Amino acid sequence: MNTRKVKEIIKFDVERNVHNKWFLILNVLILIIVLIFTNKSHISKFLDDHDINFASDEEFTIQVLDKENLILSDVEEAFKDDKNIKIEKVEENKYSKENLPKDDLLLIEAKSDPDDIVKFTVVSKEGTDGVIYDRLYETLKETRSKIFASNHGITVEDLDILNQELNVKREMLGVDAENFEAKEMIKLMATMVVYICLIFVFSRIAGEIANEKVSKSIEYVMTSVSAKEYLLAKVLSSTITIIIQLVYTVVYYIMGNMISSIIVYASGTGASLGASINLIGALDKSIVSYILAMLGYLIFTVFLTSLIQAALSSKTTSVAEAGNTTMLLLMIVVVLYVLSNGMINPYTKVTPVMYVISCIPIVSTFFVPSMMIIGQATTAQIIISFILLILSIPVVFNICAKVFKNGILDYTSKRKGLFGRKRKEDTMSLEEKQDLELRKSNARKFAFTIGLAMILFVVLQVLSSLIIEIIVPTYLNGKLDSSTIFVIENSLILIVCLGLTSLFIKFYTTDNEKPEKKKLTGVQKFELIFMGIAVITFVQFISNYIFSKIGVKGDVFESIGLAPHKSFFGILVFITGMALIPAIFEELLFRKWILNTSKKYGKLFAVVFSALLFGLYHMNVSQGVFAFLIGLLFGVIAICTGGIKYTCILHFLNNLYACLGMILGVESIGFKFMFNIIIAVAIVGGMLILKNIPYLKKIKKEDLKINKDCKFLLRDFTFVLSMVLLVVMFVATNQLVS
Amino acid sequence: MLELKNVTKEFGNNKAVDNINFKLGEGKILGLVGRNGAGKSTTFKMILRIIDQTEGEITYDGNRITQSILDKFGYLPEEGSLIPSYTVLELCEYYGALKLMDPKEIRTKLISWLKKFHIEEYLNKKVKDLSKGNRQKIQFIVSNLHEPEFLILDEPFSGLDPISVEELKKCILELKYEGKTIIFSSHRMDHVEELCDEIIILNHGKTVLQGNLKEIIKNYEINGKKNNSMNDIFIAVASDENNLEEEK
Repeated sequence: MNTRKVKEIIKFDVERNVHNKWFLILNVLILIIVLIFTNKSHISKFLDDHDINFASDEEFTIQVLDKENLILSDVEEAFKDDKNIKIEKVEENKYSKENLPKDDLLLIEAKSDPDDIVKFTVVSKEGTDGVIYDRLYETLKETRSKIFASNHGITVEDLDILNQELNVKREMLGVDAENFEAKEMIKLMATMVVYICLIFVFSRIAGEIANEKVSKSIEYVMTSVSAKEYLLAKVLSSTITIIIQLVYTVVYYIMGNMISSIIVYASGTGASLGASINLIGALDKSIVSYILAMLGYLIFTVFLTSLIQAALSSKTTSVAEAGNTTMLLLMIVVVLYVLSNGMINPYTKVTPVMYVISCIPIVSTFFVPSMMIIGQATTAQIIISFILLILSIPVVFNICAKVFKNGILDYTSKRKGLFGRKRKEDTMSLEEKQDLELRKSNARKFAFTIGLAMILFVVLQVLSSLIIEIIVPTYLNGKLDSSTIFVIENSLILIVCLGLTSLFIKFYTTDNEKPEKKKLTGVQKFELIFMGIAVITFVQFISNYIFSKIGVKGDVFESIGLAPHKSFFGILVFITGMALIPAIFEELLFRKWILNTSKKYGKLFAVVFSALLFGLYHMNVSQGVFAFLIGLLFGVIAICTGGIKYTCILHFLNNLYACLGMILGVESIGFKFMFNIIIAVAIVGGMLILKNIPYLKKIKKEDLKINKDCKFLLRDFTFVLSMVLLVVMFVATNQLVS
Repeated sequence: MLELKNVTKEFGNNKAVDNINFKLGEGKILGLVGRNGAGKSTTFKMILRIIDQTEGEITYDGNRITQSILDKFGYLPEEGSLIPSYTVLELCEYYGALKLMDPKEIRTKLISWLKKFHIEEYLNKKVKDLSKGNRQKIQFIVSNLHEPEFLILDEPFSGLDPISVEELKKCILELKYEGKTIIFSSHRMDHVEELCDEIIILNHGKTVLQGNLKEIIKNYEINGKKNNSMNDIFIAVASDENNLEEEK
């Protein structure tokens, strides 16, 4: 390694960093903050001495509505010195939303109240002047105490004692209580300063490396130094910049303290100048060791994170992308800081796991100083964490240098396998690669369409239910009973959500092949319906049995307690809204559009995928599982017949059965009669199935093949998001129903 | 003396440079010509060890090229290889530092070079504010600042106006008379004809014509005719149709 070159680059970079205008602005800001912080007692004294307060002296009126004469005298007493505040007694509250009070007016109403001694209402146009309200609040509180005391025959002083905050003196003997606040403050300030510097340095590293890479000047640089030397120089220069910043901050702190002591000396109130300036010597030993440990951790961490930042930025192909890596790293640092503050404080016990975690490099920077503050850090832990931190440097450096060397001259945005392993794609021919890319992009398009459709469905459901549940009742309330209105609302929402989602898929997909429609003879049609009913009944029985065994409520409608109005119109609306419309629109979306667009990944995939979405769409376990199984059946029928006519009929019949159960009541004779008919139909259907079993041989192997490209679906963010959304909604709604 | 022996570079299944061989003695100028994507820049990058060759050997004065040898090299990369946010002076200070030059020396040399190209006023201008041609001049200056004994110029004339081209040609010839070895690439055969001693024509990574420029012009026959212009010779050897015929 050519150390002279590394040194020259560092010199050049550090000078550029320090002479940067943002570095200057940053330092001016830090200087101001530190000066204010170190002189805050003088500043507040100065403000007090010169009577600078921020209360306004504008005219203000307080109207008092106090028929029982509870508060008027107290309020007048409290504000008697303020000439700009006028107290008025009024007899009524004439203000309302139509008649707003003026800006500079506030009305207070007092009434005695058996539950709460006295009840106050303050009326104003907007939030009133905070200072006035705060004073009024204090006055009202005192008045209330007075009334309470006189009611109960005790003195106000007794009440005050009771009202005082509970004072418990806690002695945490393990904690360095004397220096606790100072250490907390040092930790906070050091972390803040380092954090601000990290933002500055990370963005500089990322920006410079990305800039040199994008402008290709890195090629020139690489003819002069090796990638390792360049990386080391860049990272060291940023670490040195941070160290310079830290030193500057210490200087600001000392300067602030000196100014403070000069003020004290000049005002002639305090000790001599020399004593105040001898500040470093006066510091506690434990604070000094704390500061040193903190600095050690921080400097090593800055070095390590800068290495990672450099390696990450070398991988990017634009400055903006490099900026994103900076955001990522900064987020991680913030998370670590927040975690350390949340997990380690005097009120929680430090567990052995936390000791182990706190030894991990970078993490230790945030955890160990926090533990040191509360006196929980052991010497062994500090030593081990430091050793690990130092040992991790060559490891991280070598990994980062490898990544950096590969990344910095690589302008292709292709992804490499993890740890530089050869990916399958590297060995492919050009045609294969192009074909793969095409298939990938097709899969992503499909995934995006379905994902967006599902998100659209959920959003439409929320929006349409908001709108329809406002509009429909305003027109129909009073004209129709509540359950009919509910059914109408529900079916309108279904039409909007399912219909628009179907339309979206229809218009968004361009490569829809029309399925071949198969003509069935009259007998075949009946056979199909009978067999369908048999399967549905069987599935219903099985699922009901299983649900009753595991204790999941089978019938959701029952738990909602929905029943139709007992009139012809009511029943008609109920059956249309609860059986017919869902049957048509659900079949349209799931069996027509989703099934057809997903057929390109294999018929089996299309059936299972559409059934899965259909199950998730029902949003509760019992219906969802049933819908999934029925969805499989409907999917097969839709593919075999090439249309949704028969699935619509079967879906309607299934819904109708549930509706009739609600209309007639499950225990009624009519329903039981119907149940027997269904059993009879199902038995016939079952026999037909047995008869048709030989036809199963007609199923070709390719019908059961799943196109492997479907694994690319998970590469689309929208698709994954929509699936997560559906699952979350499924679980949440299920909790709600049960 | 620079020597390339059977040097090949593969990117995946694509051979960017296929078995290139040449020797270049001191004080000579070699023109590396070829169509876009012929492998000129890749050859340069391999010589400069920016990328490693897949096969073959590259030596300078009989030694494998190391960092200390590279410090004697000057490189003018493809256009646009300057950091846009730096001023011309900062840039030269940075690149000079990479070659371990003294800051004062950098400044005086830079100013004399700027004067040579009549662009003294650009000393403190940012690279991004310069025109394409002026950036090219700055790149040339940067590659020469540390007085290298061996120069690699990738498309040095691109973006320059005719007067600047003449200025640059003059500079290159001056450097040659100072005893410096130069390789440069170009699309323009007239530049090659004026400057080069040796020439290599690359096509799809393969050497299709190689040798002393004067001899080639004298001896290369097109349709039975000798003493053709370099331009005609280039079209004859580098166009794909002719290659296909050869293969047949």
